[in-house]
Amino acid sequence: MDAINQSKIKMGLLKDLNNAINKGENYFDYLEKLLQIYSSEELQKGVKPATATSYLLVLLIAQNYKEAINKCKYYTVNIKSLKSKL
Amino acid sequence: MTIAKKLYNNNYTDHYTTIKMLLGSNSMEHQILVKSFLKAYEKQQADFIKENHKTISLMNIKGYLGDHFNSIDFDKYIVENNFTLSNNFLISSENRIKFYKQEEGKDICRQANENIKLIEGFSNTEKMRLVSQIFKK
Repeated sequence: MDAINQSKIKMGLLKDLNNAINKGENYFDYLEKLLQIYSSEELQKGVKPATATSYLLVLLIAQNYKEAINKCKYYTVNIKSLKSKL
Repeated sequence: MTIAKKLYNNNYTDHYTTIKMLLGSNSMEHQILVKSFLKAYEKQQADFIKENHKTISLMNIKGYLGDHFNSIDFDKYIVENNFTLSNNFLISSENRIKFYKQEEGKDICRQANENIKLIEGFSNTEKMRLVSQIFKK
């Protein structure tokens, strides 16, 4: 899947997620797909602040607090390792 | 000075401010996600309240919604989350929400109390008869 397609799919999923939440419908399928996308983005491009923020927000919507805390620790480690290289 | 530093200097260091700040982000993705997050958070808390409380005051709701409490349109929140008097949802501290059913219920009780006061001089049998008439209405 190329980057443009992935971005289009992501935006579609985000809008679907927003609609489902507003209508009170089940939104966990959208969350699952979004988590997969963010996870693969992170693997492909490395830790980027924009992706990290979105990833954390999706985890919070999914109420997966344990994973969100793990991610925060992971990001902190990454920032520290980046600083040490400077 | 960075935004984070400015916020720190102004003591705006709570997590909620950080999340709300993302609403002003240039990224459409972040804006949608923050709106979704806040909406989902409202619904999740409402579900939790419904599961764990038969009645709840406005102050207790504030405890559940945290800083987001002041950003909520409560008339809309009550309708969206099916909080009505039939669910025994009560507001004891403030009269900012119009619970029409509650007011209607109060009027019926007030009227019944006034009628009972009127019949205080009557015998017990007469009282019972009148009271039963009142409640038939």
